Amino acid sequence: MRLPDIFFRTVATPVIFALAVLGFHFFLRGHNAPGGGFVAGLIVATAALLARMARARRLLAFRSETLVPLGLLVAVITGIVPMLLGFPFLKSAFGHLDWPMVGEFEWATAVLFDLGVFLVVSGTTVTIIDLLAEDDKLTRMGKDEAGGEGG
Amino acid sequence: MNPERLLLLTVLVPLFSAALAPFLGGGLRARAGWLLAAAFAPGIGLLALAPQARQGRPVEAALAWVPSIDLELAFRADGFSLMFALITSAVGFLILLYAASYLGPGERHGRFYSHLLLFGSAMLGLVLADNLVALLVFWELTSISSFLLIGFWGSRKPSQDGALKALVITALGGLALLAAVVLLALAGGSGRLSGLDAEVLRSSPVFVPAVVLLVIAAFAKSAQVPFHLWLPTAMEAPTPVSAYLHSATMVKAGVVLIAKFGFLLQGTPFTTIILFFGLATLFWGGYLALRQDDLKALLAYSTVSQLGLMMALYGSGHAFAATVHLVNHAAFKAALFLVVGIVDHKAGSRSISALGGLARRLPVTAALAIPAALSMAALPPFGGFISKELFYEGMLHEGLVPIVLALTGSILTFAYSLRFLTVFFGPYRCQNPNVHEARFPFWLPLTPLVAAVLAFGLVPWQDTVAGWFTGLAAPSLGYQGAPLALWHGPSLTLALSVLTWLLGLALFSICAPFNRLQRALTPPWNVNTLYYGSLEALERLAQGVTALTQGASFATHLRFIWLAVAFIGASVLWRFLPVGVEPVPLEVSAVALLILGGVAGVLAAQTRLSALIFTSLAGFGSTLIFVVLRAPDLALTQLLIETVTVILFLSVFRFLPLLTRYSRSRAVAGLDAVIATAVAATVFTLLVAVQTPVAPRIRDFFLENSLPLGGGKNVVNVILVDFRGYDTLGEITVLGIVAVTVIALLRLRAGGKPTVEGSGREDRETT
Repeated sequence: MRLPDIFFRTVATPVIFALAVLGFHFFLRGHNAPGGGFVAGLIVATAALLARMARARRLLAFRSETLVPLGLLVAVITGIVPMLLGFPFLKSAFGHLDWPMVGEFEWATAVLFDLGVFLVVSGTTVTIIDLLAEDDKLTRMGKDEAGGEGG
Repeated sequence: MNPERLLLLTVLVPLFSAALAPFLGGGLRARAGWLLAAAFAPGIGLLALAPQARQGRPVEAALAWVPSIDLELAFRADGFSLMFALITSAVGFLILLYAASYLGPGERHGRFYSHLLLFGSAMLGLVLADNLVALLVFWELTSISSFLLIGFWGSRKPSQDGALKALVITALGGLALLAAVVLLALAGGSGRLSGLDAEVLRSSPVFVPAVVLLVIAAFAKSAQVPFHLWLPTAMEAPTPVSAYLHSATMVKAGVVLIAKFGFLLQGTPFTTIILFFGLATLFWGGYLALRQDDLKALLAYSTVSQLGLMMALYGSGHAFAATVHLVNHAAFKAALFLVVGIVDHKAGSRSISALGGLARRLPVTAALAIPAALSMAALPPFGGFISKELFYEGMLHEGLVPIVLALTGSILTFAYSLRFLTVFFGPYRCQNPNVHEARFPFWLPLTPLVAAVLAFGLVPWQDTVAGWFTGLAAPSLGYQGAPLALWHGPSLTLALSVLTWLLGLALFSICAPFNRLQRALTPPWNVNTLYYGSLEALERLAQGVTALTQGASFATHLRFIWLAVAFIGASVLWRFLPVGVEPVPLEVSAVALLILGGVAGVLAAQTRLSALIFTSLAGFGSTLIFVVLRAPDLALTQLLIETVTVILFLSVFRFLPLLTRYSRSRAVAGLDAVIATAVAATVFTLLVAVQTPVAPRIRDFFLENSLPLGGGKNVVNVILVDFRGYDTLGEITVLGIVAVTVIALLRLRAGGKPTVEGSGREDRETT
């Protein structure tokens, strides 16, 4: 595949990293400010798109579809653990820890569930993006109109 | 260990072992069976609860299931349940040991053991369940695991057919049970089997429909005429499965159901109905068993026949005789199936006409087969004789027709039991010249079963094995466990037994001409014709509906979908006509104009690219609205969705043909305009309707409790991951399914990968 122009490629690399960090940030702050697993998953999807367009390679080194069952597993386990402790399915708990040096820190088990959401959303979107892009390699017959526009 | 915990472990340990089995099966191959057999240890440990159950004091245990609707997973080990759970566990233990020798090296061992243990857990849950809902769930679970096990060799056409037939018929019974359970729980005033009030139920108007449904469920599961068709084809399953599910345990679930609900039936006409259906099954199963050439098919029809016998006894209230025969049958029939497995393995055939004189080459197997088969034939001194005597005694109370049917059925039973044994006697006949006896791990699991067959005949007195065991069920089924004995003195039942042997022997001696007569008398249709006929009709109907609604044109799909939306919307929403609309902020109107411009642009667009750009204009416009209305979470999500979708759209454009004007006739265009207007009106009304509160608003609850209950300041997020966590779990599951579908469509489609698979598919299509 013809690589897009050098400026785009150069700028894309730090932007992809910035998007990854932004996604993580949105995931973490989701409990108390706009954000959360769903949005964070979509941000990762944009990072994957950028990686595809600018550098013609996949975002993740492993098969992204493995994230989907992993995420579902995390979400279901978050639901089952309370059951084992005698609570209803998906019962959540939260509390505050006062750590020396760091200060007060809130923890919530709902974040783990959100992690499951994040994994499923990012896994699904990145998988679809990768599949469409890889398919292009196989079926492309010279004419490459959208790739040019993307670049 | 305390009894409650033991009871829970009985069901849960096989369940968790089923999850473990695929890993063990991968490493240990077939030998995993020896290890996994231990999963039934808690079930066998239920023996410790026997003294308590004999005194009529059941052990109860419950797990919270859905506490918000007061639903719990309640188990109750009364004597009968305990007895059946012991049979299920003990036979399951032996079957797993046997399977370790039966399965070849190339099989999918993990899957096999996993499904078998899943079944074991479901069966134990079914017999021990006290809660009606739990009973239903376990009942369905046994149907599903039976389907999976029959279809274990699913690449073979008969396997698929057998698995499907078993599932369709037992699931039909499951639906009947669902309805019955709902009716019984509502009318009986309790969701618990032990809490049902027989008096209240009998005077309830739903009593008759509830019991009819219950009986249908039991008949379907226990393969009673006319539902018997699924059991013989279920024999496509590996032999350990046939021995376990389709003779010793699952097929008895219907019989167990009738036994457990027996207290409802006494004194109603249903006893007679069940009696005659059972006896008809006894006769018809025996008649068909006699003409089979395949050893396994013979045993399958024999099982149908014997289930009829038990059904007749339980239905007519002879619970003691029925229980004695249930135990006997579990022992001898499981043993006989396992014998067939060994014969099949060693001789390479199950055909009676192709085999003979195997006793010399398979001495141990023959020695184990003979007592089991003679017990089935009801000869002394084996257990089957005792239960057949009790059966005759019961039928003598029922009148002339039942006793004649019982006698005929038993004569047929005697004849086919002898026919089964012919493979071991006479001149040596076998395709395979090198038949040699199985190694001991293969036949060892049979020995406890055959020992039980012998013990039930030889030491049947009250306090030894047989009497003690059948006495367990006495308090819960409400019978007096009479002493069992081989010799009752001269009596009418003994005379009937002798008559059975003589006529059975006579029938056996003319077996070959009789089989020819049977074949000549075979009608061109039977229940199978009906089954396949209705299946075909259903498929044709489905094809017709699919062709009508899901033709090749995407536009047609959309028309159907949007018509449905408009129709459903219009039929509901006219009741919520706008009462008043709040004034719209000025910013929103401005953005709305932007969106409208986008929509108009899409309609006027000449190329795909411009259409896409106009679409995204509408999409980003919606994002702006969320910003204006100060919904940052929604705005953020919408923004990202728009971005990703637009880019994805661009990347799939290469697969699409160039945009040409979509040609349609004036009439179709008019229709489309009408549909579009109707949908728009529906959506508008819907949006206005949600402004009209029909119930107290829930948003205040979320706003107030997000921080104190969920610990988060972002209410949207707390709703998603906490208050409405169930919904989110469902949504991400759907998302996962979408991912799998996309993978299937893009990665696995023909042409996407020029591999061997692709060429194989083309071959299939051309042939």
